[in-house]
Amino acid sequence: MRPTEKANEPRRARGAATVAALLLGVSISLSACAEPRSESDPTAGSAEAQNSDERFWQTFRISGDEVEPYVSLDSMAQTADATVLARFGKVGKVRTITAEGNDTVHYVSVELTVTRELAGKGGLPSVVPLEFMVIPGRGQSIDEVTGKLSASLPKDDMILFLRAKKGTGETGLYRVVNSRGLWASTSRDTLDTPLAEEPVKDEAQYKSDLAKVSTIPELANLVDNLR
Amino acid sequence: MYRSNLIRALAATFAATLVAAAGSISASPASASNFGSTGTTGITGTTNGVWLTTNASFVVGRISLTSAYSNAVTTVMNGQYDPTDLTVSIASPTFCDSSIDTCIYDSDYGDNGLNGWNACDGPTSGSHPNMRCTTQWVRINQQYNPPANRIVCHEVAHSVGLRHTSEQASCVKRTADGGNSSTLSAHDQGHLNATY
Repeated sequence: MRPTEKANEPRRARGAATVAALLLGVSISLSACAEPRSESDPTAGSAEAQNSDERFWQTFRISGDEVEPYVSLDSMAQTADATVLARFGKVGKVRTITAEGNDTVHYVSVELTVTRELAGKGGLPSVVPLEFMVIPGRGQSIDEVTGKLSASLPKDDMILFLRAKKGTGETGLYRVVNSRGLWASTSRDTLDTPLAEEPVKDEAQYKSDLAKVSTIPELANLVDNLR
Repeated sequence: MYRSNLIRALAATFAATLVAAAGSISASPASASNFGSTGTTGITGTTNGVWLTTNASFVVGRISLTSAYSNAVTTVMNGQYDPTDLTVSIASPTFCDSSIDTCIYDSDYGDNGLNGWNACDGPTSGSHPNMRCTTQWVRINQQYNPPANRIVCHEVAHSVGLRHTSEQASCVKRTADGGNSSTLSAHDQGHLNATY
């Protein structure tokens, strides 16, 4: 009996190890369900981002409440004031709004060089002033910010859904319709909306269109046909 | 004997694990991931994003607010945030300073596509998703005159660690995504109570 019992010890150990492994697997998988961190965690990848274009785009990712609804590419193309394939030219004017209580908000204008207008709309000049709001860090001057922006402007073509600004003193200036209104190839994704906190691939309303294309020029052609 | 004891012990452990996991799941709200700091480090340093406030004692400043938004701060802070484990007090100074955790401003900031937004004026401590910002600035954009209680509830949420959510009952759901609530959901309150 003894030799047999001895012979069974490793088998018992193997059995216990198997059950323990199963328990561990079940436990890990259940705890993942119990507290699902976001699939599109906005903080994900921020460490490596510091040496890439992510740092540029993060400057404009505002945690706020956007006015214009997130809609499909089709609807965006139909409702935008202009849709363009364009690239950044140079950083232009800075506009500063000063309100009560030492409250200051800065807008930086970046000149957009239009490669071509999309979706059947026309009439834009070849260079369009696109404004971004920037919030300088503590002790940082707006001149320092614009200098760094100039040095890090992405150079490739992007697709932009533009809105002509309607505020006081904003005639001739443009903004993107919302954080899903600028599409570019970035280090985060080949087809990305880098102004948005969450990557666009998780958004259901864009999945069918994104399944048809894999590059910005291809996406531009797709958008161009949404008319 | 050894085998049967081993099997009983493993069965008990397995059952306990399942019960613990099930409890955790049932306690977990629908969108459990809408809490935690997200503040990004752009060219401007750590300014944009969602931050936790420093502690449960939460001082909100109404900085020269118009009456509609000033009243909304009172209504929302007393009705939504103070019932949580945050201890809310409201100040009305002329300028924002380091004695205030979240300073709220309203003005016509122009046609920038935003009803309101939150930013950290620093300093910060800790690391994501628990990074805390000592002084945060909420802006309400009167270019669009957003509904007062809703926008106060939404932006203050970002200054205490609540991220955008898909939950319709929550004021932290984006307007752009169909959000229209002016109140915190039970799930939002649960996150605040678990943190502060």
